Amino acid sequence: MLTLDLATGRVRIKEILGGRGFVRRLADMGLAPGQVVEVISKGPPVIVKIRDTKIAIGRGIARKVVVEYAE
Amino acid sequence: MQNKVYLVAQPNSGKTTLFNLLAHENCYVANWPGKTVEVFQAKIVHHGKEILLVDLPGINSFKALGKEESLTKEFLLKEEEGVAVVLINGESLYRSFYFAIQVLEMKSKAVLVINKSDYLEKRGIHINLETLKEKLGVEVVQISALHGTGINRLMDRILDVLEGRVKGKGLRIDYGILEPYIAKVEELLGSRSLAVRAIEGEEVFARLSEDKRIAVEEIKKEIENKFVNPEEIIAMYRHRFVESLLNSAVKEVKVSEEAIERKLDKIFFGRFGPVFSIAILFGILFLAFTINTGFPMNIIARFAGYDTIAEFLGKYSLSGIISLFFETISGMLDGILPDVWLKSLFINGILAGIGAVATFFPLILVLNFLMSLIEDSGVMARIATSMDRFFSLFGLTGKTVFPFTVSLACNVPGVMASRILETDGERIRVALASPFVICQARLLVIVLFVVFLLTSPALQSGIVILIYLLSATLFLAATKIYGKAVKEESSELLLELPPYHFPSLRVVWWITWERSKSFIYKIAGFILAFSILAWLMDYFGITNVIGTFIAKMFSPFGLDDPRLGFAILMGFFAKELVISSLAVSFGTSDLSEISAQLALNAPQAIALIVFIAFYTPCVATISAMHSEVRSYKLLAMSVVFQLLIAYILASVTFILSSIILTAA
Repeated sequence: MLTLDLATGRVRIKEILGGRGFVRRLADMGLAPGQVVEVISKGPPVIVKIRDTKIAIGRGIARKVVVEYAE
Repeated sequence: MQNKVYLVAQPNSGKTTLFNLLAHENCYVANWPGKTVEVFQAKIVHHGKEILLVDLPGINSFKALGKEESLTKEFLLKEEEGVAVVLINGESLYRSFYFAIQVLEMKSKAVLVINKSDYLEKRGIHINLETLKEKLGVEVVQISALHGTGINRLMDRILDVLEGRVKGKGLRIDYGILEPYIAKVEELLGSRSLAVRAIEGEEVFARLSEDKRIAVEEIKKEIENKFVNPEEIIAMYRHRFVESLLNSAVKEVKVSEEAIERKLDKIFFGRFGPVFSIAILFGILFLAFTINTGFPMNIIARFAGYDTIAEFLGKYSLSGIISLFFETISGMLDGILPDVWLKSLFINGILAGIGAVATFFPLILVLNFLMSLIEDSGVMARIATSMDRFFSLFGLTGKTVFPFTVSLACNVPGVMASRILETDGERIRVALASPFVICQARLLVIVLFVVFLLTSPALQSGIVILIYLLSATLFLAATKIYGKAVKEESSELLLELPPYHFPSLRVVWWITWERSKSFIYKIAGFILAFSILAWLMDYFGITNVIGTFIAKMFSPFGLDDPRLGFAILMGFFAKELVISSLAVSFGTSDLSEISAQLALNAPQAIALIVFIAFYTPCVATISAMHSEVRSYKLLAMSVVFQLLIAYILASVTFILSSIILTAA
């Protein structure tokens, strides 16, 4: 299982492991299943770019974001 | 009036800004015909033509069913009614266009307005208006409602559409496999846009005859049987349309700003990012320190031989000016008022309290202002990110660096700055641990004690360094311990990194004021109450009792002078008072004289300095903590913990230094 803290390049979010409040907090930042993000810096913290926005994500959170490589 | 213009947009597109700009305060509230909902309207004149401008409620989606949203929908369904001015939010093009094409499908008499062109320019995003015009079949104008650019052109285009000089051909999106069905429904309803709406499952046929309605329902069932939900198919084609539209009409040029952003980010997120961040924070701290008390700039100036500058900095620093002001007033009142207890309450209780509030407030303003500068410019988010790796070792996020840094200047705004932290748990942990950070007021007391009580320069600097190391360790350890109390032992960073830009003074001032005013509303009252309490305790002789008790606590170290106990008690109200209270009880302001009378040996002096550095800082900080934490239990825990730690540390350093110094 590939998680965001280990990924590089362009990845698609498959799943977010966590309670509803946690998933909601991430969704408010645009991090939701189906979204494609680009990992800019592996950090930690991981820095990703989603559409026009850059977001810094702590390692603990990045570990709970399951991703797959986007073609 | 026939010339009606309707503003249609999603929330946050700048619709209200645009409306106010166009309305020139000619706006009034009117009832929507047949509804109880009120809308803003304005009569405006452009090139001699009267226009009625209607501000429709902002809607996020066409699925919304609220009373206000239904107005917007009702307007859209009346094809011939007025001109639609559809706003695109430049900050979120994709979402805005997805919304706008649905409006344009229904309204061919429309002008598309791309707002926030200032933002687009800054990001180097170029939009080809001709391509959009060609693909969407309407006039397109780019504006900045905030800066008022492009407004005249917009009004000209609106007039063109109103007077029929420009005829929009209407937007027709190809729905592929659904086209045959759309054609069938269109035949029944007489309108393509209504047909698409009907297949999407919207109640567009309120006025249709019974048999037509059944016919439409049957076509929908047919689609559902053959494919999936028609709504999903329609959404898919719309997404495709927006994607290809943006691909052909929007270009993000890497402007120099982008290059600068990449370079700066490379520094912040590289190996030396934390060093760079700390350098910025220290620069700010240096500035705040100097503005506040003149220190350390005055020392540097003196060192460089500019004595007049040094003196000026010391005398005309914020705290210098304010304390001079209050000393003058209380001196004047002292001479005028009759000598009764009320006068003493007024001067030493109330006026002293107001004076304390007045000394804190400018410092808080200055620190909040400097912090807002780096916050609004996008630098703060980078510093937080670069410091995150270090702080995550202690279950904190990199954002903690801000309350920590501010606390180095003054704990009160430091505690208040904990508000920027994301989760309640982290906020409380940091707020409660802040008093362990040595503030500037304490630093000055420590420096004076170190200079007058210790003789060896090596010992002097060694103690100051030791205190700062202990301070950082205690702060981090305390956040861990308080984490157990609030059941959140670690927090994680999740932070948007906005593009860098020069801070706008208006925004910075707005943030500064927003943060600082809560000091007046929530904390000032507490400080005043404590000041009156201190006066009462003094008046009824309670302070002496407590002072003697404190001195007893220190008798194991041989520090049993009640005047010292009294000074420590006063330091609870404000650390600076330790010095002035010693001066009063020894009858001299000459510190070398006082230290000669105290006749402390090195271990005693070290224990005293360590205790003064770490015991509960001041009532203002406690008041600030109360306003952030809102729990007397946690507050009491924090105060007791600080007293305990200070006492234990004093004992340990006393014993250790006794052993080391006798050995040496």
